[in-house]
Amino acid sequence: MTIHQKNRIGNVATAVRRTNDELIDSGLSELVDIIRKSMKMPKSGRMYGAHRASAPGQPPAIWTGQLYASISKQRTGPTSGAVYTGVEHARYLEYGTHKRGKLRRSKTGQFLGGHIDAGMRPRPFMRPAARKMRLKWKVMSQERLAVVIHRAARG
Amino acid sequence: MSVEAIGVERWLTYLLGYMGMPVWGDQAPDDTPYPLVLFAKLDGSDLNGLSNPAGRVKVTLDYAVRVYAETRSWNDLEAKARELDTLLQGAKGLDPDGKVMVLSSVRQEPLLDRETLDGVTYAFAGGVYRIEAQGV
Repeated sequence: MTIHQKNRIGNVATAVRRTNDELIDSGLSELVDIIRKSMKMPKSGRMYGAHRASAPGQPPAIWTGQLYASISKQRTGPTSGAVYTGVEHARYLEYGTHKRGKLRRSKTGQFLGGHIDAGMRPRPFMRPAARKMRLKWKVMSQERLAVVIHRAARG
Repeated sequence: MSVEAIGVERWLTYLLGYMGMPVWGDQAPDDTPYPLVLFAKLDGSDLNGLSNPAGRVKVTLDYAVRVYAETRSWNDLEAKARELDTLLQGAKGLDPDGKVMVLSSVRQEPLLDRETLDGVTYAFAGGVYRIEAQGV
């Protein structure tokens, strides 16, 4: 009887690397989608002209679309990535500001100066989305990697 | 979750009161003197048991807790920020009304930034603390 040994570690490593890349890319895309969907959900805040703002605790409403369009993703390493926004007032929305201050708005309710420079209570949208995605991604990646490793190991 | 959050906020107000400065939830009134401490709830989730009817095991709440000062320099805030972290990191206990038990409080990320309000710059330091609590 002859026993043939086949070393498939290389196959497994390649498959894991490829799947890992796909998982990170798809996870980042899905996180961007979750954030954007949360912004599209109906809001129950104050009315500014025809615009219904978000209430404290809700993800921000879409007004000019600047924040919505700015949600971006980027790979930051072989096993990591980031979802971010470069819009300055995003941090005020996420964490809130410490005092109300004076709202610099025109009579029609438009913010003056092009950005929000007045107090607001938090409207978290990045952290809650990341929490949802973290759990989903963990389950999804475990299942997917188990299948990929099994297949690669069997040739 | 809301009942536990009320207890947690009572606990935070009581504990942060040791810092000897005004403590506010969400937003401070405009006439509040500096430095001040502010906490704001960012996120929350429940952990329920599998029994029928499901019993709630605990709630997890994320709070941004920050010390603010009317300054551009974070150096002016360092001692107060350290005091804040000493009070919250690893803290546990009962809220003053004895209705909610805080099981743990752990910082998830540091916060260090400036805010411009009505043309004045304020620096803040603190962190996002994950607080796990249980109704008593």
